[in-house]
Formats: sequence, C-alpha cells, structure tokens
Amino acid sequence: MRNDPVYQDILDAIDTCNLSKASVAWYGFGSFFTGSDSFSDIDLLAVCATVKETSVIRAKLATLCGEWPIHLLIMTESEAAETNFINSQLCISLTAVHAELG
Amino acid sequence: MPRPPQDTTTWVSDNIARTTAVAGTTVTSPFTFRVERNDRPAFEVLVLSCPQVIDAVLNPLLAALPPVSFVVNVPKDGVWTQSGIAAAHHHQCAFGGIAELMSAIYHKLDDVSEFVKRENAFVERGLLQHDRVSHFDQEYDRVYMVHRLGMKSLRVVLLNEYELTAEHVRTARTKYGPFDIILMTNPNGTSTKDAKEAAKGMQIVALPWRQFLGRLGTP
Repeated sequence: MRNDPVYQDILDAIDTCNLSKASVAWYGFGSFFTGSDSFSDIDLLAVCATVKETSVIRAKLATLCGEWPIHLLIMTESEAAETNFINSQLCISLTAVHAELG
Repeated sequence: MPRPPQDTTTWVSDNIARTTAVAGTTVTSPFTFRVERNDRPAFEVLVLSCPQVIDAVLNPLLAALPPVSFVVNVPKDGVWTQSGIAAAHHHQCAFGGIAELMSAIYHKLDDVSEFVKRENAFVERGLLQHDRVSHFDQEYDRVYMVHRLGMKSLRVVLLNEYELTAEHVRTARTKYGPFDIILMTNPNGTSTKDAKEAAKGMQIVALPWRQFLGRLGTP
C-alpha cells in the first residue's frame, strides 16, 4: 500500500490543505489500507468538529479525488461517535502514519 | 499538474492485473489497455479521468481508437451524464468506475460490453414493474426522473453509502441540483441523525428500497 503512488499523494494532499494539524482527524479503511492486492477504491475518512469544516474538506480534496478512485467519507465528531465507524471499520489513523513518516 | 493519461492507464492496468480472474494486462495506447482473462476472451478498456463524462469527451476517443468493451472513469466522484451514457451505449460499451470494471470481470461474461451495474439494473427493474410508474429517464448514472401515473414526477438520487452522513446529502444536492428522494441502495446502509436533519431542511427524504417503492404510490 505504501509503495503505491496514490498513498504519497494522499499524505501530500492532507499536508498541503493545512487541515491535518487543525481539528481534522484522517483515517484510511477498506481494502487499499488492509493491503489487498487489488482494490476498487481507496476509502478515506475525515472527522471534523463542525459542519462548516465538512464543506472545506470536500473542496480542498477535490483535486486528489478528481485523479484517484477515492471514496471520501466526511463525518462530524458527533456522527463518528453515533456510528462508531472508526472502530467498526477498523480505521487506520493517517495522522499517526504521517507523523511517523516525517 | 494533472497526471498524464498514460500514467493513469498504467496504474489502472496494473491494479486490474492483480485481480484473480485476470491472466495479465497490456497497455495498448495512452488511453487503453487489454485484459487477458484466464477462462474468457480478452477485451479492451478505455480509461478516462473526468469529473463529468460527456459525449464530447467520449465520442472522439471511441471513434479514433480500436473497439473497446468497457469505458472506465477513474475518479470515484466522477459523474456519468446522460450524453456520456448514450455515447457509451451507441458504441456498444459497458461503463462505470473501477469497481464496475472489476465486477464485470468477476461476472465472467464472454462479452464484457453486456455488463450492466447491478445497482442500476435492480432499480430500473423495480421501476419498470411498479404499477404507478409510467416511465423514467436516467439523467446521470445516479439520478433518475421517475414519471408517475396521475402524480407528480420525482427526481431520485441513488446513494450506496454504508453510513449516509449530512455531508453526503449536501454534496449530492450540490452535485445534482434539486431532487426529492435519496434512494439508499446499500441494503445494510443507515443514515445519521444529522443526515436526516440535513435532508429534512432541503425537503428531501432518504429511503431504503421498500419504503421507496411505497413512496412511489403516494401523491
């Protein structure tokens, strides 16, 4: 997964949109992030505090989503808590991976 | 700077080559690759990377290239317009995203151009069999205008999300304009409280399949 060019593009997009250090938590889930040989899409989850931020995230990741088969799911913190999505889908924190890669 | 078409085509080709039913793939032009299957005839794929697939994009490519059986548009958010769908049909191609291309491969059709996305086929069959529906028009791959007998027509957006969020509702409204119903096509799908509130504020309802069929019979 980490060898795929899309992975670096994702990390770069998160970094350059200046959202990763704000109140947005980024996660990956699904076949791409679990290391399947082939995958039909790349599942990303962004969790943010406010409704306004959900629109900003969609707009700032438009270029990335226009080039790759990215399924971008954007939730507010209250929706993430309501659905327990992060735990139920075994989401991987990309913020942590990003920090690890420097 | 956008990636060159050849890079996108190679990336899709490499990804498809790793699926189990495929013996191998070969990039045949900047926009096309060939899929060799283990137990079925090979076929050619046209690769696009467009926010909106329209006939003006598709027709020149399909006219200039050797015949293809499937047109794949890479962005998950990409939209197939009515004219793009008509162009694909005119050139006898199946169409969709990478998920649909993989599904077409797993269906093991001898002729991949016969593939129809199961989600759309299911919905269209249900509409055709509904006694209050006179006819329908597919405006986008995920949008249908459903004309009913003696009742107002309904504009319906298909969303296949596992968790329908408020942001999905707002994005669908931005992308497709005003509509009446979100048809939740994921049989395990649910919607958040905020999604229901967002829909209500736009006078939209999000319905699973059975409730949708009931709504079609209600003025």
